Amino acid sequence: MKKLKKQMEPHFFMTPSYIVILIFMGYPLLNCIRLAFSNYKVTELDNITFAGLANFKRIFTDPQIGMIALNTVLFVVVTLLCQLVFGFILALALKRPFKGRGVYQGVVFLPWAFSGFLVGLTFQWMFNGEYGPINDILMKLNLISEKITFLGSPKLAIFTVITALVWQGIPFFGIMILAALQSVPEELTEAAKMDGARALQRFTHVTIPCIKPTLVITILLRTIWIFNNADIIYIMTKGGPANSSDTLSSYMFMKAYSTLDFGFASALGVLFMIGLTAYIVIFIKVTKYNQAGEDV
Amino acid sequence: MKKKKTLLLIGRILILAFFLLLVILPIYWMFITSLKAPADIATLDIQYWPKNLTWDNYKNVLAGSNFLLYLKNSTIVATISSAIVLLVAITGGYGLSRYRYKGKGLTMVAFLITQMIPMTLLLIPMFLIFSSLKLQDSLVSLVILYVVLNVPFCVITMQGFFMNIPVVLEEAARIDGCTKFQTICKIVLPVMLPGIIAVFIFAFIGAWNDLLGGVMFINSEAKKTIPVGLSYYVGQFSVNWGEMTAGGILALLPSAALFAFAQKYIVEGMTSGAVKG
Amino acid sequence: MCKRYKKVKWAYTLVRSLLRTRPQGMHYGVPYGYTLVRSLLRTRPQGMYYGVPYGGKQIHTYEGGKRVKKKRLLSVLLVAVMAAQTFALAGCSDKSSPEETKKSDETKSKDPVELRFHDIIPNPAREAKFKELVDRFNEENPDIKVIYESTPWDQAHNKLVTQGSADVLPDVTIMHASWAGEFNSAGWVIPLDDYLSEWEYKDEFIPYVSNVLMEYDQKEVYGYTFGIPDGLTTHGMYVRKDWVEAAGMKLEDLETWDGIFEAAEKMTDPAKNQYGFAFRGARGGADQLGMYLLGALNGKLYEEDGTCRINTPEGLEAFKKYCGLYLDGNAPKDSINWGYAEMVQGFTSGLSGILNQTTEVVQTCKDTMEDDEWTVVPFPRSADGNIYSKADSFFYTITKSSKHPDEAWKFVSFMMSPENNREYCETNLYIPVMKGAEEDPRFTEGGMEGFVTALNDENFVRNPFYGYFPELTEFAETIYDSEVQKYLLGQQTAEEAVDNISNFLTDAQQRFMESNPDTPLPRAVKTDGTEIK
Repeated sequence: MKKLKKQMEPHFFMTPSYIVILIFMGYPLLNCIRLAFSNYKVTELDNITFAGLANFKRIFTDPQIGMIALNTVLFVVVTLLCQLVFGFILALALKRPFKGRGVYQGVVFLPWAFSGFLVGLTFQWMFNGEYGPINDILMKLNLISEKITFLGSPKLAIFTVITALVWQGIPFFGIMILAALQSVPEELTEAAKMDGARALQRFTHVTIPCIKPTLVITILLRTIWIFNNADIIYIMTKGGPANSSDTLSSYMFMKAYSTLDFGFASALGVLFMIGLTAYIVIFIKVTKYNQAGEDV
Repeated sequence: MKKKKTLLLIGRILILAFFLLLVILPIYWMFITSLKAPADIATLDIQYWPKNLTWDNYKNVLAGSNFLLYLKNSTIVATISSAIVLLVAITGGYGLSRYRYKGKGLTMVAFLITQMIPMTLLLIPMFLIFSSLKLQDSLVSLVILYVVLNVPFCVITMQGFFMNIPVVLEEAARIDGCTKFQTICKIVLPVMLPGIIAVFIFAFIGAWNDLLGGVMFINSEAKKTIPVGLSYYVGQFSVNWGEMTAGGILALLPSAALFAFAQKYIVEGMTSGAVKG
Repeated sequence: MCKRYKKVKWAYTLVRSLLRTRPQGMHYGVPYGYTLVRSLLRTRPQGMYYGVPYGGKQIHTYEGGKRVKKKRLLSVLLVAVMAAQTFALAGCSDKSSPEETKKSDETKSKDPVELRFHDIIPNPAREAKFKELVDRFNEENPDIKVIYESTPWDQAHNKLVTQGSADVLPDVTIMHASWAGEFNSAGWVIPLDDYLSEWEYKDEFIPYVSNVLMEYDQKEVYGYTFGIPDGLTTHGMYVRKDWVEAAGMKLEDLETWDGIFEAAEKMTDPAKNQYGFAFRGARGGADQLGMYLLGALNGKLYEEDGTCRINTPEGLEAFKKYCGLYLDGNAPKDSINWGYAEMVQGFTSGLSGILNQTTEVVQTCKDTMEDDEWTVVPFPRSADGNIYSKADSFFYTITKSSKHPDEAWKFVSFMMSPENNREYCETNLYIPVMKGAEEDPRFTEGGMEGFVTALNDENFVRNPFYGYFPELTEFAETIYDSEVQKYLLGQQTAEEAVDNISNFLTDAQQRFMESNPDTPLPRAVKTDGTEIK
């Protein structure tokens, strides 16, 4: 009896999450997989047939897809790294109290509280090559002599979008890391100090391992989130010029609603999920995430 | 030694100043835009302080639109959905972090996979679910949507926070004669407070700022949320910058208040106290 | 057994205390959870299995009051309770309970018929006018209650598509002309011919509207009328009067395309931060290029066999000429990524001198510019003397999701009565579709004059559509702009660009012709509905 009790215990905790996932995510997910293998156009709903791998074939023969996939990697890696590094620095700078820290924190976390589309529009305007303030300020500071076409150049457009996303994302990393840093028992660092560990050693050997779970999971989820973030791209550049700022998910969004071919879009979605799952499994293995804090 | 300390201090001040500037610039831009008259907004001779300062944009947003109604709807939806998310996340996070059981790895992966479904592909199935539940055009549909969208992330994050809490803490409480329930409520949750608040804020902000769900699932004026209301300032032909930024700044106030309230808890971090006691 | 219950109890208490619900009187029972699961099961199409680990049957056992044996089921229970609470919390538990639903069905017959009317380009003035008209209609027709809804333009198409695929479209919606192919092939809009033939104002449309927008664009292509045009908007060239003078030209000079190119070059002075032409490279910008291109092709977009003519020598030359506006520096470098808003902003802020735009921008110019700075000249003539332009409208459509098409038509016909339509057009700066507005100063003076002049010109030609095939949206949104941009960026030659564009159109058109052999080719038409030869 006791054993059974022990066995069931985790499921009591898990059931609320299970129901949310199963009921509301199960159907959309399986629906997506089904559509990936169907000829499914929203305009021809009475004519849905099994398509085999045709949708996938079309993806791999799409002449744009290679460049867009590379773009996506660049987009995700740069955005994530910038958010992580800046967020970490911010959290460390905020860890020790100083006068006015409360106000400072309140202000610095604000970007996160803006809705994505407002951020997208504002940055699009600020980086406008002709009447945007960024160029104007740079010119007035004599840092540049000619206006930069931030959003009109195929090389810069994607980085302009990244800037907006990083701006919005730093506070998030900051908050998560700061919250984790606060949960590190001070006794641990103090003990290390008494053992003669230097600041850097304390940081790498005590602090980092302590916040590793939070760090790992935040990175994981952020990766997925950045990967799936299509709306800022859609608002700022619509993937242009000439697809140079398209990522796989913005490309999919535009294809889905312009061709109304959700079979094709779903196939792309299935590929995303396979790719991201592989990434996650590897990431979890490498960071040994699963082996911490278990079992009471 | 002292020199090193001063250097560190200066470095820290520089970093803090840098972040402040970075954050402030775009917000400042939005703010001054909201104070400009229409003719002063898009000019080649950029005004870094409005020549004709006016509060008309704010007046128009508050009096000329249903902004207060949107505010109410957003508050209802965001509060309820994040409360539910928090509940699910606490139980789920605890289960995931404190037990080893069959299928746990699978659960984790399932959670993560749900995060991968692109919103584009989620919309139509969700639409079908809501219309079969007769929940079209209702705030309940938004509550459900935001719970579903935020739960996986929050459960996993919460699990991370639980993992940060040494198991020893719970064992000690057990030895002191606490039941499991008591242990969780009296020991673990207080220690977790920063994490709990962070997750709550995450869910809240996620719901507060979502545009796509609001646009797709809400039809009637009386049920629109703030981002949907703001999106109306982007017309087919022009963007009403003045009122949109005014609305954006107003919409920011509740979140800012939330941050102001929450940062105290995040910062104070009750960990040390709990371990000591 | 006892122990087990204890456990359930505390877990439950934990859950409840956290939820802080008020359980009194709220019936969050399993029946609700059961309904929830069932209704979800009903939604899954074609016998898909989606791994819900419990079936309705087991839950049913509990409902009968039997003690459940399997422990796992207890978890399921907890879940059901939670789900119910979720709903109860949000205050909607009554909505889906079976008895309630029945009740509301019974009472429905006594209530007025509810109609959802949906707008896709809301703005404050337009919304106020719509609400005023809707109120008036509701007052006159106590048996019908029209509810006004809207979606901002940027999201409107996607929302309607999503609603269409779930069959919950609004009863009446405004529709954009370019969606006609999609919406008709999906069957989302219903034919209105029966209603139209009995309508008192059916002969009141001005010739262009009845000949081109209704007969030529709808009946000849789809075999029926699916939409009633709401008001006309046409293109004109917004110009900076002072700049034209400074360039030593007269406004009349800008009434031909050659004059436009000349003026654009003369006005440009990068040192003064002044550019001749408001170029638009993104978000449908290629459509503007298309207006010039189609003129250069004399309005003949396709050969008889459906081969696109954009990559003919004339097409190529026109393509290069227009893109030259950007490549030669007569437009800001940044404008390759500009859409509508930036382009207009560029003109009103004094960055560019010539803007190809529709009537609606008159208001924006009035609001942000001095009156003597700007005017509108009629759309320029091409070399053959014709004005190849567009005069589009949005359409009132009734959707197949509507359960009350008769009432919906009553509403549409109310909105389209000449008096109401004129009010509506005045608010929106449209040219009314009904006769009798020619003498009305509201539509002929001020900035509107240039537009009306062009539209009334005997050489006014309505450009052909790119096609009636469903790939049209894809072409307009993802292909056209990006092929042009690649040329502007030097990533491909002009020849490659026109080839890529032509090939896409040829493919789509020929495929369409195979399955729709009777549909005529898209052609340029005059106001009387005759094709240009």
